[in-house]
Amino acid sequence: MLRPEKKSVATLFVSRKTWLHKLHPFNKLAYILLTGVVVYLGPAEWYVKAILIVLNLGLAIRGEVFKATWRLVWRTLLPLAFFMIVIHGLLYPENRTILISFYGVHFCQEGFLFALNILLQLTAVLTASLIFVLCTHPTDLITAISQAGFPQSLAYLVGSPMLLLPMMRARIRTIQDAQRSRGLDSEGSFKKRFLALFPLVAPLVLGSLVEIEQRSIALEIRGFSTTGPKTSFRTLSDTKWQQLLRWAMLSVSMLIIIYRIWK
Amino acid sequence: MHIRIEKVAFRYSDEVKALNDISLTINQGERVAFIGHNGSGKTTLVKHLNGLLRPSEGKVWIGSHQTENMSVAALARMVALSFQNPDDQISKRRVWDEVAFGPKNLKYSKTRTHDLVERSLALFGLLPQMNYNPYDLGYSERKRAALASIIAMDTPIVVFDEPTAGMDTHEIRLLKGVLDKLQQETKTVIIISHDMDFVAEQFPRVICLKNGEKRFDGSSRTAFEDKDLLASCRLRQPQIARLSSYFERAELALTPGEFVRGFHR
Amino acid sequence: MPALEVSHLTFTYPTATRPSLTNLSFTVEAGELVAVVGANNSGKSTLCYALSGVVPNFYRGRYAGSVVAGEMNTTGYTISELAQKVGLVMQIPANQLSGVRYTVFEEVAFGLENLGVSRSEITERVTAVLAVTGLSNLGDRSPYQLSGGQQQKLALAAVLAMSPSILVLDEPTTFLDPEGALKVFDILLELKQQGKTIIIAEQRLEWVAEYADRVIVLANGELVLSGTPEEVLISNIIKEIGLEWMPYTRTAELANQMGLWESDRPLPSTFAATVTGFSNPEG
Repeated sequence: MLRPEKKSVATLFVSRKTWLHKLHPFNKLAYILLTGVVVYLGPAEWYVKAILIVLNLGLAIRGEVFKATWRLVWRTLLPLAFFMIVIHGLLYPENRTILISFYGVHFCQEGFLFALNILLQLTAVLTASLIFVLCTHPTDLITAISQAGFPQSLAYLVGSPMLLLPMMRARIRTIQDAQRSRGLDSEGSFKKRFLALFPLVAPLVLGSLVEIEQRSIALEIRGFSTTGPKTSFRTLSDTKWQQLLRWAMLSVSMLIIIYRIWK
Repeated sequence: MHIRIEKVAFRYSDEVKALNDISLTINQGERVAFIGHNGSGKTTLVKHLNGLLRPSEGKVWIGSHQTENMSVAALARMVALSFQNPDDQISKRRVWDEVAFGPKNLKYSKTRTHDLVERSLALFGLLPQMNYNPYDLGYSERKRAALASIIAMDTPIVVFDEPTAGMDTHEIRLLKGVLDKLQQETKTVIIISHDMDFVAEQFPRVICLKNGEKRFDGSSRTAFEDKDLLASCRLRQPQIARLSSYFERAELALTPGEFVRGFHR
Repeated sequence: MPALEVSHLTFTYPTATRPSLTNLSFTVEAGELVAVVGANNSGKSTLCYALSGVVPNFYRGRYAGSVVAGEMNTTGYTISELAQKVGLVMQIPANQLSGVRYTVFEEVAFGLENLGVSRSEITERVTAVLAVTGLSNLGDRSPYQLSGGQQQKLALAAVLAMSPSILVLDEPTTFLDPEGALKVFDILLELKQQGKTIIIAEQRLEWVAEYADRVIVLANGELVLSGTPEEVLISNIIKEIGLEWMPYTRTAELANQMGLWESDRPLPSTFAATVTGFSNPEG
């Protein structure tokens, strides 16, 4: 009988066999960088960002992860969009043109457009990031990092939260249960709930330290610190073409940054 | 304060039932052991006793209170539940304060708290370590501190989840002393355990769960004689019971004394 | 040449006021299964760490004496270097998982990847190890979806993949149910038959009586007794160091006091010996 804690794996990765999945993780990361540089430092026109968003959604379709991308974009941005539009529409310093007003409170165009611009930028970067997260098997990312010559520990640092986070979440629930079982009142007023957080911290941190210590030993026993060439059981394809594409994206990003600074 | 569990079923989400149609009653002062394979629902069931889990179907009563109407903090005055891993609850820098955590939450008076903490520490052999940082002690000492913090709450019902895991025989002897003390105070003691020798010796009543259902509820003597039950619940027969079965004793012996006395028949 | 030779081993943790191990000396022959028994905090875990090089490489402290595995002195090599000679399995199953591999198969392969072993050899070795540990059907599962017993078998498999000739286990069955514990011991028996040397710290004397060739008893970091299970488990020293005899032994002792056990028959530590003793009270 599986319990929920044991079932959940914290990765958003969706397993498919598309070229996007086979693409080297660093290419996808470079693409996120490129997207970010273009929307934040590139031409300011709104349609540039819109085109990128449409492009990314197209890529998502190609990667067979459109549904997940669409769902996550709305889930993340909708609440944010609401707040941003309201706050900037009302309070943006350069507000002049009134669009709607009620009871003396004016909602203006300038703020509205400002908020929209930010949202477009965020959406572009978010969609690019989602493509990376949804189409990259975490082990491939870890492998890419160690094959690139980065220290093993960095690869580990990046890779381990994905599996260990759900364990940590389960642990937090257990700690909460244990403290509540000893009379800690965590229901009711906000103040009570807030104060009830403190007895969670120590067991979480200290217990995690014990866990980390044991895991470090276990890793050593599995030859984690050996020097010398390591094999990767999962094959990670990295053709010349992919490497060229990567460098191309990085170069374009650099050029845009330099251009901006120079301007 | 009895415990009454009436036709309780529990689902973690909309899928398989972790518990199905469980009904049982435990009277004040009883000693009951929940046994069964891993995943049979023992911990899930026991979490219903202090409100950590609410039944998907059926009702749970502690005394005259239905658990659905009470918060976990309120139920903690009646049912103290210990967890398997002491590192999931230790949050104070001194053993003393850790054991006092429960009584303080329940807002006992300073004198009452002091007395309860002192008594609990003494019962678990932790008085010399009362000012130590729990993390400067070994795992089994932290385990004892966690158990001590539960009995310091002085509740009518005490529940221990796998208390003997990781304990050496000296510590188990301390635990037996604690159980005796609790019995003298007519507290209800419930444990979950895999240690059949311990259960056979200390608990006259066992409730065996299998795949979320109650498979057996009765005297441990009857349970440990029933080889089919033990096999189907994947349990080992306690050592002395095994001897007793082998020699086809009329009444199953559960302690060395009982076995040896059986010779004089 | 013995598989493992421990000489005058003394170790004190950095923040401790007294040594955790004092002047330990013993040898283990190849193919033996030696059980280490003692009260909590008697030094069993520290000994397991010392045998696998975790002490003094990971836990530095004041170290004297030596542990030599085959021809490797544990102070002269890193834990990772020693890993192909001595493997260590610890108490808590989940803490031994790497956290960076998504399937049971890859988790076991992790160690071999670190050693730079070829992919075909990895497949061969991992498949073999999964078979020995009874995990062949679970190769594609996430390690975090396994039960505690399965995770412990996985930890064992992951260590076995490194092909150590010596296996050290620190109370591996503590958090397992009896069924899980039995499975672990069956695997150890199989490994012993394959020629591996096994040292296991264990609280539950029933398992020790059943599976060990030899038993070492620790108290306050010192070796106080060594011998066969039949000799050690009925010794008074067990009681003196705060442990308790097994129910079988206690029953026979009680019977002996009442004249119901043959007076020069040694006290039993296994079911079979107890039954024989009680079946022939007059000898």
